[in-house]
Amino acid sequence: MNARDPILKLVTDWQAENPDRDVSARLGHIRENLLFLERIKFNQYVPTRYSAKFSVRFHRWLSNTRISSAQQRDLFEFADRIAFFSSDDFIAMFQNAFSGPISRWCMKLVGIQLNQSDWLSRLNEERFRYTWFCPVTDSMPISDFHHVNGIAGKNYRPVFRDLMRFAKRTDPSDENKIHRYAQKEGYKRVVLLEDFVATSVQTFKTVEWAVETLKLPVLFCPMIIAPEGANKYRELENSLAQTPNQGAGTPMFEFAPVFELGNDCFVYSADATPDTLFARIRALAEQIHGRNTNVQQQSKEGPLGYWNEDSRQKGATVVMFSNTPNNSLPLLHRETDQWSPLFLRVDRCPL
Amino acid sequence: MEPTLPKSGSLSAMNPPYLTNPFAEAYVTHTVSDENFVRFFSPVLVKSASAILQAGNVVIKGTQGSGKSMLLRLLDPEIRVAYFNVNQQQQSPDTRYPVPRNLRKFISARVDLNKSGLLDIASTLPAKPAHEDIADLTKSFADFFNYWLLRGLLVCIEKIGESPAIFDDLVLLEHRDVFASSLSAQDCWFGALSSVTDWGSLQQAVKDRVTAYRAWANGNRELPATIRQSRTMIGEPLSRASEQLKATGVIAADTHVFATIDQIEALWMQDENRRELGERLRRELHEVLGKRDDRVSYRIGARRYAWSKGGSLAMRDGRQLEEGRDFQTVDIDALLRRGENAKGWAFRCLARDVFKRRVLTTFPNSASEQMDLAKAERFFGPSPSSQEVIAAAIKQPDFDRLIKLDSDWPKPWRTAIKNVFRKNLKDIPQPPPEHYPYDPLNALLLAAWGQQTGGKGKAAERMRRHVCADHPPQSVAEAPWNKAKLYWRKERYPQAVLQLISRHQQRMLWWGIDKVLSLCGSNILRFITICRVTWDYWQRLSDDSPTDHAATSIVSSDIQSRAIFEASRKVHEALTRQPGQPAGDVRSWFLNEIASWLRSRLLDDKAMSNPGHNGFSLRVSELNKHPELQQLIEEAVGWGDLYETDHTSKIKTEKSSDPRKKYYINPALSPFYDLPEAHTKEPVYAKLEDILKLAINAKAIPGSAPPPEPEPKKPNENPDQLWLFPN
Repeated sequence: MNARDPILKLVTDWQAENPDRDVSARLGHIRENLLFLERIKFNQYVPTRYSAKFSVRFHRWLSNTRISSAQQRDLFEFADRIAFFSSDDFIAMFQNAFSGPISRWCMKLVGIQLNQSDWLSRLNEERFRYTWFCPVTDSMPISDFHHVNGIAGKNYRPVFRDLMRFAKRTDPSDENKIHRYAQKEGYKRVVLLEDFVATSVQTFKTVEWAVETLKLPVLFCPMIIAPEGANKYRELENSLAQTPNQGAGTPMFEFAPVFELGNDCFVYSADATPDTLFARIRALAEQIHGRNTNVQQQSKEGPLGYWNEDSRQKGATVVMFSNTPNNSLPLLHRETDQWSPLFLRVDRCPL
Repeated sequence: MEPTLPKSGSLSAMNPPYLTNPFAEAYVTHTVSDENFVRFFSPVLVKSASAILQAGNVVIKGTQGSGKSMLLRLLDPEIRVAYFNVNQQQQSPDTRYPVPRNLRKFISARVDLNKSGLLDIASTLPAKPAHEDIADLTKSFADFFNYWLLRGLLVCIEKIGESPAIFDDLVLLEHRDVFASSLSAQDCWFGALSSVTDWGSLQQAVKDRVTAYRAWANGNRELPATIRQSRTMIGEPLSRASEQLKATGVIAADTHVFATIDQIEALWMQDENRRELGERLRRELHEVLGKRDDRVSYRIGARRYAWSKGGSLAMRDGRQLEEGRDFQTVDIDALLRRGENAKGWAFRCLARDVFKRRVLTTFPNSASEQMDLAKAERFFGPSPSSQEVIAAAIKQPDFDRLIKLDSDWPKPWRTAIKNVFRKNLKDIPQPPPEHYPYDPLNALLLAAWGQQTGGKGKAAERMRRHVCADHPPQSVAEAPWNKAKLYWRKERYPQAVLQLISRHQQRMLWWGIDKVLSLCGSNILRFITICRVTWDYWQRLSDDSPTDHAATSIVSSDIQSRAIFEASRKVHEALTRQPGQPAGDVRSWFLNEIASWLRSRLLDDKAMSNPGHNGFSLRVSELNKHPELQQLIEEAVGWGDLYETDHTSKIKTEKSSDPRKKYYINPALSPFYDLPEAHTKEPVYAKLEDILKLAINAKAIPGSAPPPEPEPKKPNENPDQLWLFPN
């Protein structure tokens, strides 16, 4: 039977082979859930927006050669465990960031209390007028952040990673330009935003540089962060808190993420009891990685993605509507002549 | 609606390949237009349920999806208009108004207790209401109820009056102003309609009253004192309206006035603080029926056990309503249930008709198609025999895995069973298909026969539990192959199929029209669900190759089997979301326990002594002793999770004055639970403790499982005397 809906055929084949009604029911639920997610989320995925839609890519992914029927079923069940963040999810996170950690930080810095009759007007002034919102890297959609939160009148919102790169290359006095600009605009503080942070390799130096250069209180507020990155920023926060600074009692750096990934967003987690499905996916990831020798030679990407040797979580299940991070499982995003991915990643740097 | 088929083309030529699903809309009652109601509604039950078209109070009972509300909607004037309009275009017997001509003299008003908002006034009660609060609200409910139905009646009269030709001049609108004056002068209104002078002002006054109640229920404003002081007694205003309509000549003296109250189960309020209110409101409605007022005939739509739940049909003063005197019952489930004679089975006719109507509404040209898509029996094809199921499910039968003969079997039996397995016994009844290499089904039956009988011999010899070395049957002239054992074999085929497929680690397979109908449990909603999923799967799992018109079914058995399992899964999922006391999720845990218990019994019964143990039977008196279990089972029956019928016990010592009821899991769940759906032979004669234990294990009722029954004591006077029933 060459079915028009090959996924349905697979599911019903598995159900027929499995007398356990709970397992059969679960397979049916997963399929329905994926159909729903395809409609409301998966088809937003930017890198494949105008190519094959999710259901076609999903079938190709399950039909990758040299995987067994049991592994095919594992991939099917794993698809239901992908942590996909849609554009609506990001909009919600932007709003959450603005009304949550950013507002609390502003109130703390200025000493606004809720029992003050003018607390809201003062807060609005601080966060709309005197706070500068900038992205760390260009993957953070900073204009969406401003639009969603109704923040107007901020003409320049430079990408700090690029500023750091070009400022250091040309003239160290360029760094002072940034500080002077901030002063001229009357900014009292800076919020650095990022969409996704894993090990913090890309962002850490930039954030450190920003704190040194701006000489203003800095809040780093990533939307999604892995525990490894979060721990590094907490250490930075603690170490800077112990450093003497200009304003007495004014911390120069704080860290407040919106969403910190739990262990269930990683196929490997040293801190949690192994999930049997994830264990099988790890094994499959190793098997596939072993086949893709070209990738191995050219990059540092391991079978569970870009992680340090001693990372306590590896193999993220994260996919964002804009792209898939290279910290996520390569079997999700890496295309080779031997593997068709589910959510193709577009790399920033050549491998 | 999708465009119709191209006139010159065939279904297979249609582009794109995905066809609209004619069964996508499951609930026709509330969401479909009047015109589509006409096309979808099947009149099969109208004759059997004709009591709703005649004078007298009628209670229409049935499980969800049995078609109660569809039948009641037939009384709406909008539907009659729709029939007229559609029939004018189509001129077909299928679109003629199905109410017989001699029963069309009626006007009607309807209230759906779930949808109307009538019960929203319960939100005006304080959090912990006193008895006086409830008594006062009951009066408001009665008044709101009266005005609501009166409003409906006035709308009905207007509607009928607009189309005198359609309704054969049933209503004379020119007398309506006189009617309005006359009605408003009645004392039952306590002056509320004193300002009414004509039809228009009557409509406005009634509408304003209903609006005032809705605003109060919504918390927008208080109920005006003028309304409080003029609240009417339940039923009386409508009776007066009926009387005055006839007295003033708006309707003829022989025209019936019907008032329909649907979804009466809404009065069984789950909130603890609302239970007393629910009981009071039910008594109010019972009061209306108890009056036996021939001016208005009431139709009550109720789910099973929502009517006379707990045995109470009490009126205000505690007197009970009497069936037969105060009301009649139309039990849709009973009308559609399959009897001994399958030929006259109403549900089969209903299902076929519904299928045809749905398909022809969506694809009007399909009637002329070669493959006859509008026929359910063509779509699903014939159902398989047990041998065909085995051949489809077990591709490579393995003797040891399937038959599982242990070392106690003597060699002659072992050889005989193997011979049957290898198809070496000629002319065996119900042989496997020719292409199928082996016959595990008959081999397993022979093994069961061996265990039951101990081989040939006298009765005393057959009492032995273990197979003796007697010769097994050598020819088809002997039992269990002979004609005398025809029913013995037939009763055991489903159990044998279950055991074989389970040993092969597969799921059961289901296909064919007869199987589909039996899985529906005579419930039309289940049938539509199966059709919907099967149609969907047919489209998704087929490819673009042309349809084979010579095939016995349009949809292959493989696709049907997958779809039927999925439909069953959806039924199970829907069940868990239903309300009730306890709610559907809790009832589903109980069902899971019951199903596992029954399935284990069927699988472990290698001698196939009890092929009917896919159901259980309980004494009514025993069940009455445990109100919580009784409530659980009644709710399960009421919501259609379990099917209940009377059970005439075959145990001679049981008294007929101590009746039993037997219970089967909803057949629509049979694929999900992998249980045979057919009811053969006797169910499990369960003790209350058996079922209680399952309910407790499922956490459906509180408590701890009862201790296991002690082993029967062996008499020990003479150690040389052998015990009659050795272990």
